[in-house]
Amino acid sequence: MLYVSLQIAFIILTTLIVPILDGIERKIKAKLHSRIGPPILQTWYDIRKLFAKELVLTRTAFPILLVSLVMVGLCILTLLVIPAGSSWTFFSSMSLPLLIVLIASIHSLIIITSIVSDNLYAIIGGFRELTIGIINEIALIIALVLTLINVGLGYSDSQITTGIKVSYISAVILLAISSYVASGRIPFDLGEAEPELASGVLIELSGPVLGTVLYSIILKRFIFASITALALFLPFMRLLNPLLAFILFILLIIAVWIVHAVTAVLLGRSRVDIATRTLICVYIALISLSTIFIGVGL
Amino acid sequence: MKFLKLFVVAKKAGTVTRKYPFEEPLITEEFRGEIKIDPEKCVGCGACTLICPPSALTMRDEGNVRLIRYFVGRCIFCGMCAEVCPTNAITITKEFELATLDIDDLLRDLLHKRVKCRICGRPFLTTKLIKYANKDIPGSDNYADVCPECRSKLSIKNILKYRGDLDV
Amino acid sequence: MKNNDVKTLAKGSDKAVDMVLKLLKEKLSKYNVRISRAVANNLIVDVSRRHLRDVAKIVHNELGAYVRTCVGCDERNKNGCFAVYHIFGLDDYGVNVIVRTLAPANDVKVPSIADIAPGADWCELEFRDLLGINVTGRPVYRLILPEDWPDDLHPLRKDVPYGVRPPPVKREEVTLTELESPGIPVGPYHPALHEPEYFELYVEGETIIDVRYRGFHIHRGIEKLGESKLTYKQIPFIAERICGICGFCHSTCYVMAVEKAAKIEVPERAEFIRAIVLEIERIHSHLLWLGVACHLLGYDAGFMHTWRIREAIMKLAEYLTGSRKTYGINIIGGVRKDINKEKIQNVLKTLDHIEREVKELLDMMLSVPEVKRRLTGTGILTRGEARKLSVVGPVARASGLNRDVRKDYPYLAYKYVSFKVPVYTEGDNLSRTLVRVEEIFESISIIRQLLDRLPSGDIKVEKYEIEPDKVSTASVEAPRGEDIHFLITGKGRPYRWKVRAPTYQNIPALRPMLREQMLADAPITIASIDPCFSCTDRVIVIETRNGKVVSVKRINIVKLSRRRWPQNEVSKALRSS
Repeated sequence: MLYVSLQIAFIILTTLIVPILDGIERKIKAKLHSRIGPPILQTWYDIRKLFAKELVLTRTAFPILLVSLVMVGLCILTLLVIPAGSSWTFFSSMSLPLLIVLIASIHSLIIITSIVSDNLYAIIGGFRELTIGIINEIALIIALVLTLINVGLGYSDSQITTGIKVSYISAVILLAISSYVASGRIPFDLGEAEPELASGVLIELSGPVLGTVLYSIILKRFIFASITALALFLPFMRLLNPLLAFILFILLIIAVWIVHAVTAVLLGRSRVDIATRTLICVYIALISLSTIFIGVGL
Repeated sequence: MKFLKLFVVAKKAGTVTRKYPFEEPLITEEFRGEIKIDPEKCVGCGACTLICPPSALTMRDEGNVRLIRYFVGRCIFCGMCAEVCPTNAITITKEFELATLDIDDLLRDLLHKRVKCRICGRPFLTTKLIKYANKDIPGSDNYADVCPECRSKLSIKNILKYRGDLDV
Repeated sequence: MKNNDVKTLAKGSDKAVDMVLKLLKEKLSKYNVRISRAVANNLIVDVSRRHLRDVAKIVHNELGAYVRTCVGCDERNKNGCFAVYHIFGLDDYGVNVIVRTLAPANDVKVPSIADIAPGADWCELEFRDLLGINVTGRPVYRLILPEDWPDDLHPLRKDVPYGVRPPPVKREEVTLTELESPGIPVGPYHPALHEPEYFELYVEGETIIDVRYRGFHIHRGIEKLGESKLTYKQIPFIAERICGICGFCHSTCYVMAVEKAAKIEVPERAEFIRAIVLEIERIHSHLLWLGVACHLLGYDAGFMHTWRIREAIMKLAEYLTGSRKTYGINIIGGVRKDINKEKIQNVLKTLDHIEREVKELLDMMLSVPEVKRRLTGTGILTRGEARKLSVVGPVARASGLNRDVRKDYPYLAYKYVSFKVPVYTEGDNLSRTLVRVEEIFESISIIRQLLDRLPSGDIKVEKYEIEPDKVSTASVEAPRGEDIHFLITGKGRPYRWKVRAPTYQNIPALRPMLREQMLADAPITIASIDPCFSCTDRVIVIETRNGKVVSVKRINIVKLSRRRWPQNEVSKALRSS
């Protein structure tokens, strides 16, 4: 019962604090820019403002409303699958494929919104998202599998090891990189490149639809931060009592979020051909390294 | 790795933005804002209206008054009017928060009385300008309240009278 | 034309002018030309229309002159003709060769020289639009006036009042050839651009294969105003507002042109002060550009920090001149504000501080991997193309052309200071960035030298007289390149005033730069010429209410932006008050 209530608390807490986390990210960005920045609640104010505007949908794009709501729903569903703290028993053998499918669906929905918009900028943005997304998803899936192999994929409690292996570390690094890329921040926010594509995939969205899509993008970032936090936290989860594990897990997610935020400020936007080349090289290197380590038994 | 120096740079600079309008804006002592025309000193000569590049200062003669209108909306705050004013009636203030919802707030008018020509009765210059122009010129009282056309006729009459060619 | 005499020549001096005069007489002896001296370092070559192309070929190709601009002028009330002035500049001598040709009012056409000197391409279309002087021997299209402006109304002719507002003319929609690749509209309103301009990029996948430019959306009628409503003394303030970033260059250029025409001896102290403020403007403009370039590359931290440093320069400018921008200190005959000892100390302190910060910041900025990678090798302009199009400023210097007005046509106090002109040969976006970065440090050094040698004396000349019918030019190295003003004096106001801003000369270079580039690099490439469209577009703004039906997808955005052009309520209220 405790685990169920912790998981529900996780979801409710997430839906409320995720815009505040975005506000904290903007404040950090502002401090690194030597300026005051917007108040921490600004993202909530923005979403509230967007919902107050009129709903404008083009002829071809009326399914976007449904798609945006489905996106939010899928994000929340994904949060259900991520074990909060030590509700590891929730994580069964079907959880990993379910997690992968949900993440892929969220990505594809963003691409669908861009193509349905019938706007050249959105289409170009969508194709860029697709290119980076495909490479990244593959790496993400492999990283997830490699990480969870090390902890027995949750088949039974006894199989979770408490030692940290070298292959685990390299798999976690791969997971950290691919979840950062998936979170859609600079240097990989090619879909929404504002100076280049006048907001790319988001160009035709406005009002409540834009509010919903922005909210789901922030939720998506939270999901990827929590995946990285999960991979870092897994070896220690079993050692703590459930409530403490829950609190520490949340704090770890916030720490990962802050690291993501600071990384985004330090770098510039990449270009689709340069980004694919870099990512492919890095991923192939890390994947081969991890497989070698596992094979050797490290 | 040098791009990590951003932390150092940001820390050294601190926070440089200000919460204007809740904090004071930063202007130096040389700043040029809107102008103020001192009604006591202004003589209505119109030199400022001739130099004003965007025609923010305009002069109009209507009936018994001369109107000098300063329209803030057109002003480029160059301060040339203050330089050419012969009586230093124009001062440059530091006011720049001039936005308003009512355009009439931006019109500042100055009215001068005009003197009527004692011969033909038409108004021509302002009282103050005549006083100012004739301050240091001796013997000008005879012509001070006569308009330019009548003045030329009057001065010719007086010359002829003086030479004895004209019978009064 | 390099020989030992040229190397030791004082550019722009009487000796230089005499040498060029001799050279021209020798080269143009078989054409019936009349060569006369105009004001200062200008020579006028009067040639008939029949020989215009031959003379242009000799001056541009054989003598190696660069096209500076060409001006059309309505001189019907002087000699019954329209005049066309092609201004060529010989950088080695610092002398302008103005080739003048007349077209009688009943046969208003001149041959085109755009195939000989591609740098004159736009100027010819401009005087065709604005003055109705037809150009033969080349494809023509409307460059400046919008499509719904009536055909026979040419704004710069002397019989057209400056306030004329003709009703729009409905025209048939001309469908251009359908290309297979979609044209991506960048503009007129786009987050990458600061001012409305319209680039049509034809892409295949993400590679750009062609570019079409349509600008002049913000023509304001400044030249016409200068010729009809304003007087000599008022124009420096309007000239300052031609551009929001290089305004002081324009006002300096104008007053220099008038001072040259009227032979006014400006006191040396005023020349120094003008040069100091010009360099301050250059530093501010380059810092602004660096910030914008970072922003376009997604590196907002660079943007914020460069503009933070630029803020110190703006405060300095306000401290010295009374206004953060549009300084308003230039008048004919000198400057209005002086610099005292305390101000000099403050300026030097601020400059030290800025130099340190900029060095640190640039070190950091250029080491961000994305910034370096995206600037290198993109937007390449080869030396040959740069020479053909006579580009100016950092764009030229980054492509290997050593052109800088401060060295080639010396003006103000620059002959008393020593500085380096940075020249790179790769011609890509990174070279243009590095040229600007080096220029910041050179400017700081120039200001220090000028403050050190500031002579005492007056700052302006009170009495002067401007005679009519004098032809004069003046040029200034604006942050974006060479800015040139051409002036024919009249009574109380100029008879013809032409402004050629540097971006005007540089935009045609975008076509070779953008070909074969990725779409993602288009904004940064367009920004790398540092476009200042306010400078470029200068004629009467027309509020159009478009009545045509557009079915071609790619100009939807143009139509949308024009329809959303608001009715100017305030200006209506003003006109009636």
